[in-house]
Order: sequence, then C-alpha cells, then structure tokens
Amino acid sequence: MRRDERRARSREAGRRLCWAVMLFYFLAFLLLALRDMAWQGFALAAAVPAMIWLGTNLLPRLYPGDRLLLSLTNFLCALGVLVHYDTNPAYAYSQAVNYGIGLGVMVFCVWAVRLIRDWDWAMWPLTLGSLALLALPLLFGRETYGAKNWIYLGGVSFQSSEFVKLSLILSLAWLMSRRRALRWLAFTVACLGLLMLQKDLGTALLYFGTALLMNFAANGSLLQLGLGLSGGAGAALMGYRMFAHVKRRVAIWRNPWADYENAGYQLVQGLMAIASGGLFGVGIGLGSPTTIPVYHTDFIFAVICEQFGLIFGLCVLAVFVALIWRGATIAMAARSAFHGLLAIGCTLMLGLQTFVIIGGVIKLIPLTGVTMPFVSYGGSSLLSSMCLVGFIQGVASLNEDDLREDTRIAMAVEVGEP
Amino acid sequence: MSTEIYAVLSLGMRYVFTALGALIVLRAFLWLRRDRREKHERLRRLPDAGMIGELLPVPGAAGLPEDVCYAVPREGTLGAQRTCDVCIPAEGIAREHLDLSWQDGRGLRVTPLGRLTCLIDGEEVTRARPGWMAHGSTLAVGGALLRLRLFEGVEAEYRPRARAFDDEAADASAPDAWTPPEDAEEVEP
Repeated sequence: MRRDERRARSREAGRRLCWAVMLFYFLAFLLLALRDMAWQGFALAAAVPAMIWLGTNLLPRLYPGDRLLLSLTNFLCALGVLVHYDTNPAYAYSQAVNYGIGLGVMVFCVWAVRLIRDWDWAMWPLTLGSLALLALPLLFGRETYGAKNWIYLGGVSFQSSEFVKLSLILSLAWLMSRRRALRWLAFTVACLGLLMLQKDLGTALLYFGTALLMNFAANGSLLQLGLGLSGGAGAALMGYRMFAHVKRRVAIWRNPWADYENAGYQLVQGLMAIASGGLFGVGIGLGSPTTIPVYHTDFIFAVICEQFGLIFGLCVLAVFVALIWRGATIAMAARSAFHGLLAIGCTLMLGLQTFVIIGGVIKLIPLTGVTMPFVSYGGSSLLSSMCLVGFIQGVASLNEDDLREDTRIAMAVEVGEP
Repeated sequence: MSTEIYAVLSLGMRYVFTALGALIVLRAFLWLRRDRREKHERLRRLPDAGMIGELLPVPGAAGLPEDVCYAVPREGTLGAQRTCDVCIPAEGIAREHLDLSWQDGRGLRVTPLGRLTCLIDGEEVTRARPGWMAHGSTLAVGGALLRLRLFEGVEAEYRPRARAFDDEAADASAPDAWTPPEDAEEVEP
C-alpha cells in the first residue's frame, strides 16, 4: 500500500475513534452539568471534547508519532477529569489543568527522544540526581498511609518516585544497550533500597518488575529472569516479615471481611461499589462513590465500575491493553537497542502499574498504594504517565522516519539511482 | 433539574455510555489489526527494511555454506546463538561475538565483546580498538570468512575508505578471492 494511502486510512480511523470519544465526553459532562446546573459543567462539556480534538489532531502535526496511542491516552486522561468532576469538582479542575500541562510535557519528551541520540553525558547526572530525589522524602518528607514518599515544598506536594521512574527507565535503557551491567544493577539496587527505607513497597515492586523485564528484553536470558524472580520472591518474604503494614495488607487481602469496619473497610467498600454498579452502572452522578476511602487515587477504578458498570470497567481495561500492545509493537519496530528498550521499559511500567492497582482493587493481589495511570488524581502521577507516553511517541516518530528512509532506499533501487 | 428527572436520565444514559465505551474499544482494536496487516504487507514489499547490507561467505573459505547470506541490520549483535541479530552458527564463533553499529557517512562499526577478537581486512580488532567495515571488506570471525555487501541505496550515503572493485580483480589469483558480479558498481573511495 502506498504511503499516502496508508496515511489517509490512518487519519480516517483516527477521526472515527476521536468522534466516538468526543461524543462520549460531551454527553457525560452535559449530563453532570444538568445535574448541578453549574456553568463549569457546561464549560467542561465543550472544553474537554475540544482538548481531545486538539490533542488528537493538532499534536501529530508537531511530530510524526502514533495517533492511536495519542487517542487512547487522551481518552484515559479525560476519563480522570470526568470521574473527578462527578465526585469532587475541585479535583476535576486541577486534573484538567494537569492534563493540559501533561500534553505539553509529552511533546517535550517526544522531541527529547528525537533530538538526543547520545545519552552518555546524562547518565551520571540522571542517576545521582535520581538517588538524591529519592533520598529527599527520607529527610524532609511526611509519612502518608504508611509510606514516607511525599515532599512538601512551599504549599506544593509531589512524589519524587514518580519522576525518578522516568530517569530509571532512560538510564536502564541506555546502560543495558551499552552492556554496562554493573552500573544499571547498582543504580537499580540503590533505588530499591531507598524505596524500602521509605516503605514505598508498591513503587519498589514497579521498579523491580520493570528492571527485570527490561533486562529480559535486552538479553533474552531465562536464567537471569529466573534468578531475578527468585530474588524478588525472597525480598517479598523479607518485606512481609519486616514490615507490619505488609502483614496487615496481606491479611486484609486474604479476608477483608474479618475486620471490615477498620482495616478491611476500604477494600470492602471498593468491592461493594463494584458489585452495586452491576453490568451497566448505577448511573453517572448517582450512587455513593465518596464512601470509599481515598476513592480519588487508589480506588478510582471502583468508582468507574460503580458509576458506569462492569462492562465499561472492562472497556477501560481493554483500552489499557490496547495501549500496552501498541507500546510493545512500537518497541519491536525500533531500529536501535536503546530506543527499543526505552519504549518497552515505558510500556512495562504503565502495564505493571495498571495491573498492580486494578489487581489490588478487585482483590486479585494485595493492595499496594500505586495510582492508576492517567486516571487517578494527582499531578505527579499524571505528568509522569504523560512523559512515559511521550518517550514511546518519540520512539514511534523515529520508527516513522526509518520507514520513510526504507521506502526512499527501495525507490532508489527501483529507479536505479547510484 | 429535579433529582427524579436526573435519575431517570442518568439511568437511561448508562446504556449509551456502555455502548460508546464498547465502540471505542472496538475501533481501537480494529485499528491495531489494520496496522498489523499493513506491517506484514510492508515486510513483504520491503523485505530488507532496516538492513544495510549482507555478509556473504567468501567462496572457497571453509566453515560456511556458500549459498547462504546473512542480512546485517543497522544495529545488532553477531554470534552463534539464535537470539543474535546476525546468527552464524560456525565453529569458533561465540554465542555473542560482535556488536555491529552502522553510522551514516562512516560505515559499519564492529566491536568484539569481552576478550573476543576478529579480523577486518586482515587487521585484528578488539573491544578497545573497534574496527570499521566498508563495502567489500572482509570479516574473519571464528572459523568463518565473510565479505560485506552494502545495499545500493545505503551505498549512496556512504563515502567508504574501502578499495574499489578494480583492486579486487587484481587479487583474483588468490584462491579465496571473491569475484564481484559483472554488473557490480565501482565504489568510489
């Protein structure tokens, strides 16, 4: 198929998906606006579809990236704004602002990947800076829900581990592609050690899983994968023995009903919310999602299932699957080891995070306190997720350039140019 | 709006939202499927996509069948194990033997891994002193002797330091000389 035909079909598919997404959010925000008769709701009913349209159609003009990835990301970010507007409008406005900033940050990350080919100069600043950022909460942070991973500076709070995950993936991709095993191992172990000191075991699990699977993608060694998994299992057992809150979480996971009024209250409320939503939900703006503790971050998936139903919850899960599938496809099409590892690392991080949080909410695995990418409330989480997508988009845009080059070479051979 | 009217509206709209959600997922997966088909079609149309050339066994040299050629990517590893980008299961070649990296305007950079070595145009190459290959360069690795042939479109960008094909014709008396095909183009130094 010729390149222009391919582009036309891609644009047509993008338009159809974009219109479906825009219609969904227009109707949803309009309904919520009619509930409150607040002008902010009507404004969001116009603004959010417009942002989606701009994000899906304008941004691809700035770089030759992946339109499907962009569409799916916009869908998930807008879903976060919608669900927060339903439960607490103040969260929605903050989330919408972060969504807008996130789009800009994503474009910045795309161009960083496109323009910077040699990351050697950045390795020491990235690794040492990341370790310093991870150490900050231990010195100046506040303990929240059993973990000391938040930094409060002049009225602004952020989670340093959300930004360190970006430098972790960049560093691991570069060092693995250059076969500097000792350096990336040392950096990963140092990060994990600092996270264990913060008692942020959910993030430690994500870092560990991502590093292990990136190593497997880099060298295909089943032996190293097996050793890593064994080490991880050992560390998990050690964590269970050392930390009381880990024991508590495992006990709640095994039987939340045993102490449903105290320790198990959050999980029980989440499960009851999912069940009460049934297949089609209780209806947006109805139900009582705010009875779930920390509904806006950890249990946002339970809120979605309560309001929109289990079928829609599965659709959200399918969107994440499509996003991860696309990321993996982009990684496999990359022409250099660094870019392939960068894309797969970002995809793995998003995938693992989604699995861990949704698994915890539906009681498949113990709760870990990580956020749902793009959807959960929180500037740090949303911006870091957008950066991850930006890196994947950067690799996708390089793949497009390579494809263009392949076609040019093939045409040169056909025409017989020297 | 009254609470009752809103409740009826919301309960009715939940089916619409579920249907739209399912439609969005369906369109996304149809898009994925279409792109997968286009990728297969593209691979069929451009089988050498991403490759800069191929390594051909030198006729007369022992170790490898002469009718096999090994495509060389822009970046990858050469070794005996299947997971290598250039898999040459010959005697003396380690599981992962060399790192290959194409640089526009320069050539193919060859870096042996660990303490391994190889010969490029008769000169020894080590990890500390990587070598460069041009169109027509020979690579002796393990028990195999190979020659690099760059694809035409790739040659157009490259300004090699390699010998011209006329020089190779002067070596034709050597038992392991590689005779270029009659329509081969002269490579300008």
